[in-house]
Amino acid sequence: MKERIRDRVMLIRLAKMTAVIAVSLMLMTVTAYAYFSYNVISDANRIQAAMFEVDVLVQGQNENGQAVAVNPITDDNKAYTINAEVGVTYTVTVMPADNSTTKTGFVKITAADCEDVYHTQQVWVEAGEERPRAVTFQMTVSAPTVILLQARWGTSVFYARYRDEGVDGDYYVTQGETIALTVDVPTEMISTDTSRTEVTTTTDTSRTEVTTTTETTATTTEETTVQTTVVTETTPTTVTTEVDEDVLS
Amino acid sequence: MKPQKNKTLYKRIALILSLCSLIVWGVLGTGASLAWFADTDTEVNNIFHFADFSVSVAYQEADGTWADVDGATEIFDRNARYEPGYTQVVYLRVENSGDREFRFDTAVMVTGYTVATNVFGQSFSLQDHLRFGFVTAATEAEIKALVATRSSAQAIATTPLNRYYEGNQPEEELNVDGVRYVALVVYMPEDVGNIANYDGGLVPTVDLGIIVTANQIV
Repeated sequence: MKERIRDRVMLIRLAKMTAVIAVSLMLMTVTAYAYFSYNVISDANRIQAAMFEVDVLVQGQNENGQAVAVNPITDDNKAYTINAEVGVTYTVTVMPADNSTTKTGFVKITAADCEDVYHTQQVWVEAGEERPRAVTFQMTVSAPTVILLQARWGTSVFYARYRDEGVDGDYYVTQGETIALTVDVPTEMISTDTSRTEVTTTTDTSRTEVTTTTETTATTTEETTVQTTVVTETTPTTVTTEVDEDVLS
Repeated sequence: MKPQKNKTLYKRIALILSLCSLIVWGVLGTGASLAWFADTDTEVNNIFHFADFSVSVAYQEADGTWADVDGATEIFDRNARYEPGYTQVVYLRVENSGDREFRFDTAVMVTGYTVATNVFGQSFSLQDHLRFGFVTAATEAEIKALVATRSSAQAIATTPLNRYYEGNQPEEELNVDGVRYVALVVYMPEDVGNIANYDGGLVPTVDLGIIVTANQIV
């Protein structure tokens, strides 16, 4: 019994000593790390993006030199659409909007059913030498289409080439230049005359027929009245002009 | 017999543990003694001399002067507006003003950002369209020469900011009284299109932390 108690006491003492050694080693290690390392931090830095928008002015002039009203449609200052007609020359002026915070930007010009893509030269929020604030150019279309003018930040030469470089791709538009947008139109719709399809639906004056049938039996006379409504409709007709195949080529 | 055996065992364990304690405290005592004996004072009374581990970090302001960096310092120009091709370079000067050599590195960390809407109506984060990088040199003239042009500065900034943890400046040693210059470049590549041109609503921003860490060479 006494031996057992002595053993237990001995074990407890040994455990205490081991714990003290372990804690001392840990403390020494922590103290050494804090002593040998140092940080300097600056965490009050904020980076912010710029924004680019444009104002667009469009004027149209037909072949007779008469002004044609053009009202670009826009959801915001970043994209404008113009319903363009054949025979009208559109003079477009593009400039940065007042709330633009970039230094520069340009406008990308595309049209429905047209493979040509144009990028204007740079326009600058703060004008200076060789840094125009606005660019004016002219456009014509080979068929009715919808032209999209989209404000883009960045550098247009990153995306476009001069047409006379002879390289396929997006083209560059400079001040005073005239661009002709070639619109791809499906062949069945092409004609020398203005093709037209007429669809007419007419409803003739509906007439109501009233029929009265009298049936007389031996004991009773019954009258039956039946009402019917008659409507006359004409079927749609399509008028097309014959096209000479040679004209298309 | 058994109790006698146990007694011997415990004696051995106790002896081993005592020896271990002696060794540990001996090491501690030796370290303290080393510090004690490094004193250079000629006085009879010994002075306990502590090692001096000191790092100074300064940044260059717009006028070319150097100012100390602390937690509230704005190193980047708050009026800068990032657009494709826009490149910003900030300069740091790290000095060993203590008497112990150390290794140091510089890192950036995105501590916050806003999610904005672009002209297409899509959400985007600005840090997905920025890149950063570090370069170091021994003198101010050398560091300026390394980032003298926009293209040379952009060539250094190769890490996307949204993976900032991959772009730490490699550790460098700095001797006592040594000075090292660090240039941090942040730019927006020119091929970033309207995907990051916001719609005029919430402004896209990134909050950036710059950390210089020095570890003593043991």
